[in-house]
Amino acid sequence: MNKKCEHIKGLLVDSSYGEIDENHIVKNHLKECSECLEFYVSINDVKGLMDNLELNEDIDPVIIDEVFCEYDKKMKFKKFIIEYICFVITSISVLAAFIFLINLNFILYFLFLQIISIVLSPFIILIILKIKNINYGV
Amino acid sequence: MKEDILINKAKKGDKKSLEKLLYNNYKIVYGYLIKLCLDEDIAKDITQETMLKAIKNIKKFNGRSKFSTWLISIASNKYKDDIKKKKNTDFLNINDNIVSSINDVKTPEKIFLDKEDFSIVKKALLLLPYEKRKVFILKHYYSYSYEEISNILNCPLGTVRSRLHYCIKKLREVMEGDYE
Repeated sequence: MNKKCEHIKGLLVDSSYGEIDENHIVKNHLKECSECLEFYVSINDVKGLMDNLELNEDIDPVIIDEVFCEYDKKMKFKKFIIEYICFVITSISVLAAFIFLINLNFILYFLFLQIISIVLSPFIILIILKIKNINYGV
Repeated sequence: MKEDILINKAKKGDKKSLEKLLYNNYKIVYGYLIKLCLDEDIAKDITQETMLKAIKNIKKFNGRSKFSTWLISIASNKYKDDIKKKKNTDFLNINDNIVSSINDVKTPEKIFLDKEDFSIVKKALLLLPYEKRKVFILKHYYSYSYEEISNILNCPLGTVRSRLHYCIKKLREVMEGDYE
């Protein structure tokens, strides 16, 4: 196959899909070259064959609602994670503040608060997590 | 309501406009994906993932192309990711089976006259490598221009052209193989 035929075949594909207009060079070449003419005919055969693709393209529109539900769930979960991180940071900050004050001999004033924060905080976190999970349907 | 108005409203956070946009376009996305993977379940999953990404990134949509084109672009990337996840093993196996089954078919009448069985078209499509198949589907079934396909698939225009030429030649070979 010579280079001209290869070039013409490329143009034939372009032309059959409306990328370029049919031109005289191609038309004249087709009159002279049986191989390219055969290729030209086969393009239409291929297109005809591929037009017969039959698929069930019906899809339930419920899919959109499902996507929005999933998106809402993800957003709520993201919000929950952010809130949880904020809570943990706040708790650590408070604890750090107590430790700092203990070092400054304020131990008697904050002993009771320390007990509450250290002993009860895991239970408080668990309760919060439980409530959040119920709300988000996890 | 016009598409650009809906897009503007959706970008501002109007959920109903976004919902309307997706309702107007989900069939196009699903139709494209089912042609690409020829599997209803995979197509549905990727359609959902595509819609989810569209909801997340609606503010990034620049409006230079049609909304459906943008969705098809997302769907193409999602399908690519899906293929990567499966590491092509399933597809290679499928292709081997298809090649052998195509060789079993001896007469062209079976393809062209038996109009109730179009599975040969599906097999011929699956024989194309998926990157090239995308180009063929976008051109043949959706009549996108080379330039649009180049933008959708984020590849050079020359690549789009050469991929389409490859597909035509490959499909022609499949047809000729059946004639012999």
